[in-house]
Amino acid sequence: MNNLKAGLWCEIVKVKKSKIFWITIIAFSFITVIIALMMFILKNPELARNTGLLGEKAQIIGEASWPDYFEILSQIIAMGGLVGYGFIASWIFGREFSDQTIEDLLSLPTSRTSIITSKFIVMFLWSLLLSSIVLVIGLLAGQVVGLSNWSYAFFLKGIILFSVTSLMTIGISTLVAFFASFGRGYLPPMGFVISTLVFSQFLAALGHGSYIPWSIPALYSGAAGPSQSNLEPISFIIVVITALIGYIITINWWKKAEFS
Amino acid sequence: MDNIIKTKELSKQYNSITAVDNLSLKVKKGDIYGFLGINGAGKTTTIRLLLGMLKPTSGNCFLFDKDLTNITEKIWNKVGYLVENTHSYPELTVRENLKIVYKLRKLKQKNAIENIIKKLNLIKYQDFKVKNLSSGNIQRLGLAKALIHNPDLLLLDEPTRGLDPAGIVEVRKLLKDLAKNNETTIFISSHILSEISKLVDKIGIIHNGKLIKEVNKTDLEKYKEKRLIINTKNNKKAVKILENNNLLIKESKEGYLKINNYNALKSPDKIAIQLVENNCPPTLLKIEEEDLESYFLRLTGMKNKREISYEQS
Repeated sequence: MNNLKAGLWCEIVKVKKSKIFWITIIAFSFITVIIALMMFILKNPELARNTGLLGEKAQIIGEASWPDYFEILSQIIAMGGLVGYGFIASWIFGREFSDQTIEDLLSLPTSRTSIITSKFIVMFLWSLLLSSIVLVIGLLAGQVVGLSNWSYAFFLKGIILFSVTSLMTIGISTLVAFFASFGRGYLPPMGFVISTLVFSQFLAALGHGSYIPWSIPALYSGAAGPSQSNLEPISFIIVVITALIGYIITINWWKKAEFS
Repeated sequence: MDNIIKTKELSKQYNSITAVDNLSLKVKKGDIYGFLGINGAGKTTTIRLLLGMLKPTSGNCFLFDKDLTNITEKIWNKVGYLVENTHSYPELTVRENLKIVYKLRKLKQKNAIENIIKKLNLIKYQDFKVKNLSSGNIQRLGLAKALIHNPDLLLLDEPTRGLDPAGIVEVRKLLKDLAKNNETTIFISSHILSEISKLVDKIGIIHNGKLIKEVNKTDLEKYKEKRLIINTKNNKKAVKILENNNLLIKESKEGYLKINNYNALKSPDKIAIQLVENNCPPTLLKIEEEDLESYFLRLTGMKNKREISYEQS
């Protein structure tokens, strides 16, 4: 436990002091504000017509209602999070190689398992913070815009949809950590993230999305329509197994890898 | 526990390249062991093997009499290290970087960070971000991280890299002091023999992954080649005179005569007398001793390749 505490302290300091941390907060906040702005335009069709292109794109989203709004926020997390959380995993694990600080983490009384577990915890907390920022800013912006169809039941449903989508997206990012370690830097994991985006789109289009870990959060959030958002338990199990595989193979890699 | 470091037929192979070849060495408690070799000789690989960062292809490493394949992480609190170019988190300050090491080493002494900052002369820079430090101060920080926990064993790979001459002297003094007063065992690699020779008790020379020579500092003098250098106004005549006395004469690039015969080196005065008696008095007569760099290059077979010879220096 002391090992983990020490590791966590160090990882939190590294993240807090980095510019990337603040950049991700600004980026996720900005995206949420944009979505809220689109909702505002949807709610005010007169203004939408006057704004031209932005108004046309805003029409694609649907209604300016709370249920639709939660769905869009969840879809943003499912797809944007795949890149955003993947980037966080790349940075937390890959930076040790890019900054060549890796050697300082190897021959220590704190075990490699504790250090890597700390990294995973910080990756989870950071990603969760970004999801929370999207949710909080989203809720505030939704209130300001004055979206329709507010009810406690919709709110609860929306929160569950958003939270489960976030947790699944964070979970599948553990494999990115493995590629950052195995590839020893930022580029291989980002390549992996882009591949998964393409791969998941392709397989989802073929109708196999509910078995592809990187498609499941988006399907659940309703990105492919309500008909495909009711997933079988196997889809959730696939996500959990993927998350565990990512964690386990990363730990094992760090324990067995050679650092030359 | 006599030997703090022991390697037994240690080898490391990368595909067809043998980085470390059957290396067996021992370092006693409190000793400063200089590990000398040109770039690519296998120094860093050996240090990484000793730190468990690499796994041997064959053979074993022992630290504090414990086989590295069978140790707990606790052992690393007795070991401080600096491998190749030291790096620290660029966006963190010197103090924050040290705090990270302090935490990961689970240290309890409250003033450990202050003490090491003072010891390495980093007070002025303690709140500087690492990305704003000079390479010399980054190296000092690397040494501070290696020394913060007062380790029993220090594994240092080219520790004075990037330091200015004053910094080199300072670090040398610090390491000598650690070995003398704290009985810290120090294993230090370098490719600069003159630097190492001022610090160490024993030198191990590694070349192409093999330990080709181990020599105590006190014995080093014995291994250095000596030659008698002679010049006269008529060297052709001098050669004839000396060859008549069964001496093998060589000519240096400058046109001087060189003799490495034991008796001639022992009594150069007799050579002078012979030359004078044959009406060919020496205008130059001196014993020239091989310097440490030449000795090292001769041992590693690099002397001719680099076209460095002591008579040129």
